Amino acid sequence: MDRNVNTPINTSTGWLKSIAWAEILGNYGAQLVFLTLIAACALSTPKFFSLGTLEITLLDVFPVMLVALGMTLVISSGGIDISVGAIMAISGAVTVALYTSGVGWVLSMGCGIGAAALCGLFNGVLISIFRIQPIIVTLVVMIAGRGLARRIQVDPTTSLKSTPFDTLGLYRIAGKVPVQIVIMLAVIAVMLFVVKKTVFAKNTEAIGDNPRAARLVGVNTLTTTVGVYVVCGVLCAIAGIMTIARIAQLNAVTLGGFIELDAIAAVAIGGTPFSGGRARILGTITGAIIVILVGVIVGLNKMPDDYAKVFKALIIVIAMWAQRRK
Amino acid sequence: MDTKTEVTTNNPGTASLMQSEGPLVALLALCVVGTVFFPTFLTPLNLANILRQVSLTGIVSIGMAFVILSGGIDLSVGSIAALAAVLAANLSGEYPFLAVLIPILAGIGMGALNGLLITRMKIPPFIATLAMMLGATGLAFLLSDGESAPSDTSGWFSQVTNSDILGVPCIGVIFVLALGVAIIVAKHTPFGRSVYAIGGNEEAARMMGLHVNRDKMLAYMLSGGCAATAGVLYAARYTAVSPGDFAGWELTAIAAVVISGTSLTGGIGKMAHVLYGVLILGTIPNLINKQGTLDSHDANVITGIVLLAVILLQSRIANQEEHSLGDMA
Amino acid sequence: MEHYLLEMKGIGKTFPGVVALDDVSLFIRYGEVHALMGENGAGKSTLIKVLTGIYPRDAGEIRFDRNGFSPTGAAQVQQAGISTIYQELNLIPHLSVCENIFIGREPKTRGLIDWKTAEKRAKEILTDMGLQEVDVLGPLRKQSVATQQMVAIARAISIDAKLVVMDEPTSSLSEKEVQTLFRVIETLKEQNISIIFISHKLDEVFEICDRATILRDGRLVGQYSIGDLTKLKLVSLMIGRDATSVLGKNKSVSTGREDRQVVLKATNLSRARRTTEISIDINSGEIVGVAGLLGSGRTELARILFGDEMQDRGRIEIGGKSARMKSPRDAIRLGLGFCSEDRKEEGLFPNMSVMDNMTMAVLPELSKAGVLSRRAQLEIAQSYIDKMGIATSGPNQPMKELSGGNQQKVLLARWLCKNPMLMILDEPTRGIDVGGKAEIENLITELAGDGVAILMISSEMEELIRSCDRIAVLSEGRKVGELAAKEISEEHIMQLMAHGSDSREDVHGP
Repeated sequence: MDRNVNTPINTSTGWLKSIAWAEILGNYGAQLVFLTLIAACALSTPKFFSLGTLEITLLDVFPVMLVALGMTLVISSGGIDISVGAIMAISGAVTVALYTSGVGWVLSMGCGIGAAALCGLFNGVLISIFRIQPIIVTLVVMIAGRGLARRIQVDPTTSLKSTPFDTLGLYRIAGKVPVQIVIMLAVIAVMLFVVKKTVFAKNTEAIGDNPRAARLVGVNTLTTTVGVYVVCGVLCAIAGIMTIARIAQLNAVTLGGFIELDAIAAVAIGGTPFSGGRARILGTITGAIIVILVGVIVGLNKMPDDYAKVFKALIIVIAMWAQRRK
Repeated sequence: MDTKTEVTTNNPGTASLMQSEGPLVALLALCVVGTVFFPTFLTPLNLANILRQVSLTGIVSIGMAFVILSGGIDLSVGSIAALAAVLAANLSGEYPFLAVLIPILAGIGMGALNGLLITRMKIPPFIATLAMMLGATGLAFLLSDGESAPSDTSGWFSQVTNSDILGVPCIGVIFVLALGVAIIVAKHTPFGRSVYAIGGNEEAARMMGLHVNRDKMLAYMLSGGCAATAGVLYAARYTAVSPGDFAGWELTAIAAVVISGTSLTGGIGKMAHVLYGVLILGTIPNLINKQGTLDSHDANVITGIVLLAVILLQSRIANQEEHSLGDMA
Repeated sequence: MEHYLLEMKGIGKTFPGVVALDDVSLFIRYGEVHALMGENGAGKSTLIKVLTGIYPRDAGEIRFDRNGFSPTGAAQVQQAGISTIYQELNLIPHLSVCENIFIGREPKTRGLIDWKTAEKRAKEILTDMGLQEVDVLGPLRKQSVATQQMVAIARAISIDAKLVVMDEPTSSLSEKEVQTLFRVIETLKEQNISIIFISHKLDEVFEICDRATILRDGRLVGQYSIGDLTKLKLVSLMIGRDATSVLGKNKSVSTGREDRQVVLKATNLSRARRTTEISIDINSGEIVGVAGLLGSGRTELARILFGDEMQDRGRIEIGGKSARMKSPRDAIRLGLGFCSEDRKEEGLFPNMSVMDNMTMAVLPELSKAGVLSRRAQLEIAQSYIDKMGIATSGPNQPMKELSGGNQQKVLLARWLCKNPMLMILDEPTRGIDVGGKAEIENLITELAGDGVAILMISSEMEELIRSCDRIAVLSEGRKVGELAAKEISEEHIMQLMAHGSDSREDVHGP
């Protein structure tokens, strides 16, 4: 009797069952949804594969992707950052305010990024030294940060037409490839390297997986946590500046509005566990593309924009469910 | 053991006293500032105004408090309120009674769905309610065709909602009554205590034979119900309802609950103190408004700073207490 | 035919790769105190978890109070009249004492909880137990561990349980409190309530229990009347060998080593009220044991030595130099390693790979400018997996999938690959099955042979006796004595512990 239990089941149905569906869904759930979506697009919208659509999609993905990459790191450390949109607004506001007051555009951008890094520093310090839950700290920055951005901004709707920012938004390398896509690929490459190759990322995952144990193996939890939120802030800054460059306009009230939702959704779909301990960069990239694609598809099919939200909700639930089964 | 016990229990400690009364102190401080600098602050009219301003998010905060006490979070309250408001507006002309009933039932249903996602499918509350937030917002916008839905405010329900009792706005009365019921539920019913127990130590609560999943479900249903009620009241107050009006309500509610001293990890907090949290958040914009030169964005900055100050104070006190307790053990 | 309150017959339970229970039976009479004995890993807790419905059983039959019984969950088991007091107290620290006793079954009037009645009844129950001073409305977390334990028992009593399971109820109690507990147990017996008593302390078993069921390696050894047993017999039944050979055996101390150096010297360490003027020194190649009950300050001592907590007074010298450690990072830099007693909370990174878990502490050395050499990481992981015989599908397997013994080996390897001067091991074999235990013990001895200084904290006396060159005995935060190799014996350790807690004013540790 006992022996039978251990004998592998050789019937064909048993074999079929033994392909671990759960595992496939768990590991490739996001990718599967992704494929399904593309197929759905292709079938429903003939124009989908035209180059224009693809480029628009990629440009749309840009800010969400950058923010989601930062969010991935934050979530893998066991935290959350809902202040990302506000940080985008602050960095954008600082950049434009300095530029319009006569500072050079490179230095302005540098200061914008620096301001975002400061916001990240603030988040990280409060979380690691004062032991306040990440969601509260970043909630404070979210509420106060946008007000601050609005205060920094001189004119509510500054136009940046015919400025270096506008050029940056329109510039195409060799006349073909938008510079934004190149920047995006570069950031992805850097983040992949960081997560796969550095001690910093291992320490981050360790803190996310078991903060107490991390301290006891000598991980510097303070600098690591601060580092995580600073990196996230800097990525938000790049996303913010690139966005204002693309639309040649700054509106501190709307810039990066609700982007935290899309970013968190992208991370969730990408399979980075919210309990921390693992950062899945490739998953997040897929997740971000899915989140944007949903919007694009809904738009192309001339459905009201709001369907996108409902679909995103469904996709998040399905993705989470698929990962749970593992 | 016995002597130690006596020492610790007879000295509740100034720390924990400060922690329990901190929100009240902050509120009183704000009121003092208001009274000293603005002669119009401490007038019945202005106080009624503040109450009117905070009542709806206050009702949402009550449900949120139960969820947070159970160790969860509910990001979907703003969207549920929005959907309920749009539903109520759409129904208000022809079916004034259903316009109240159906949205609230829908809210409870959406809360139940949150609860199912969390307890059965084991999706973290943050994500489950985020998905619900997106879904409900989407539905609300679809139902209102992306614009604001006209709401018929001529029915008796609207009349009552918009009236005052002896100068006290009716929705304020509804909020305070709801809070009163919530205080009793939290303190005096098995469900209420179970919520505290689950937030305090879910595993232990399970071992003690409490119905953990059922009570978590109930907490989310309560939260959904409160949010929907706020939405219905909103539709009864304003002739046009747009889902966008509800953006950020979940954050206001979370902030109110956190300011009230409720721990986000669950299990610690007083329902009655939610009142302080709600009033603090309502008084700041009122003061800014009276000051005149600052705008609503500055109000946000100041709200953020006050929120941070209260939280820092609480965390410092909590750490101190933990430290001194550790020494006793 | 005799009627039993509880009959568990032919219980079987298998976990992937491990047979936890094989044809185990347990019969409990009405109104008896029944000891469930066995070494760690013998299957006691698994049996209890089957009884309380936490694990479904694979085989066997359970009858409770003359009816068939299929436990499905905590609520239903409680309803049936079985109450369990777990070793790690399952109470809600932030709720009041009164609520912890009554939650889930609060007395009610008109649908609302009647706090007055609840308070009165809580007071009555606690007074019956001799705890009239406890503030029943104050939060539980402000009570001492011993009182919390009593509250757990009070909860069990208030449920009107027919059977109370006590899992190591005395591990954190002083002698006086144990006597209080035993008085309570006697009262329960008089009310015809049965008790399953799980304890490692033989004296207590002989004092309070009527009968005993002994398990070993997941099998039933037998059921005995306590009157028919002697301590020696009980121990040999539990470990399955002749007890004298184990109890009498002392580690052959490698006295030949004259080149030993003092690795760590701590003088008069005090912190708050938990540790008071503890002095200890450890030489290279030496295993120094720390014996003491839970709450004796043994874990706090480890934390101070590892820089996790700072001492208020006293000094630590490492390698002859005064060391001021502000965090574990400082201690690690000085060549210390620490394995916590709580693997889950303080050791493992469950979702990370075996390789990452093993190399976490050594990462800075495996990297250049923060960039990690994965190859070096793999090499280390693979070599220790081979060397220590860690059963894993590979270095990339998630840590949470390993068995307790293998997890512990990985955690040991985490420090070994740093070549530490001193290892602090807090309960290194807790929760590990018998085979794994022996392996870990051998590893520790080998390590000492290589010249590593080892401080080993354990609540299992046999383990200390088997491995240690010297044993420091702690009681209530003080060091009450130190035994050199020749003096080490269970009696000596027990005497010191007892002596220390009874009249500590008279005792000045050497």
